[in-house]
Amino acid sequence: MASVVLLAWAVKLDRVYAITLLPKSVTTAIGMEIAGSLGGIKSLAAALIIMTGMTGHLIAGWLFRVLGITDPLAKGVALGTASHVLGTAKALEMGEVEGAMSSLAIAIAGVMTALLAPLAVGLLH
Amino acid sequence: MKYVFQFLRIIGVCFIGEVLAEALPLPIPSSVYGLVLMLIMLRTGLYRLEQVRETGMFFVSILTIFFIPAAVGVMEQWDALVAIIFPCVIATLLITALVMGVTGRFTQWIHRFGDKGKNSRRFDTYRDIVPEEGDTLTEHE
Repeated sequence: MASVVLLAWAVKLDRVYAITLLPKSVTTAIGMEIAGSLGGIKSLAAALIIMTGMTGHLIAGWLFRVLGITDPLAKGVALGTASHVLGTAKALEMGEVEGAMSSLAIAIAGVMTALLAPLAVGLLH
Repeated sequence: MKYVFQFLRIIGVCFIGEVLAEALPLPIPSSVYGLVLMLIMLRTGLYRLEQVRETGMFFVSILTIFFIPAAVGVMEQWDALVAIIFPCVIATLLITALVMGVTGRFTQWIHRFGDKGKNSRRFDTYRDIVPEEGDTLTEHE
């Protein structure tokens, strides 16, 4: 979420698109509501959330190898936080601990984003 | 029958979440209310884990199916999306990699740091959630 605010600053992203991008790392149901309630485009948010999920699902294995992330707990949290449900599907393939941690991370990331997103909107120009 | 009641319990919590989201003026979606409510119910013992576990695990195992309608919805937005598709793809790729990498490294660092010099017993709680061997969903299907 903070990364979206930074990106929005860096490339002078349109406010509406920035808000739409904001909840892209949380699960669709929560993310769409957040984007909608803050003035973003709801269905575009859903599209971006799906795209984020697929990206995370695809790059996870490679990224963990490159960065040397071997701890199952860390893998789970990373997948759940960055790419929500589709990441968790990947985490469940990796193992039990990964899956459980990933589900937990979705919930925490979802709640945190829902609570912090209104503040982040204030930081946008 | 057991699964019907488990399903009804989960749906019940979701429904209360919907009502709360309508009633309270906070910008929090109904699913978050449901999530927090379910956690409270389980922690306080109003629900026991066995009362929702199998159906919950079933939903988790078919999680990706719930994404099909949303993915089809992307097609409806194609006109709006195609104009900004290129920056969006780049941004999505970079941010996802960044978030995942940073979260992963940081969690691993914290986990190792916290574990120094003592045996970790913190996996016990997940063992409670995840079914034991021979208790998997495939048996019930």
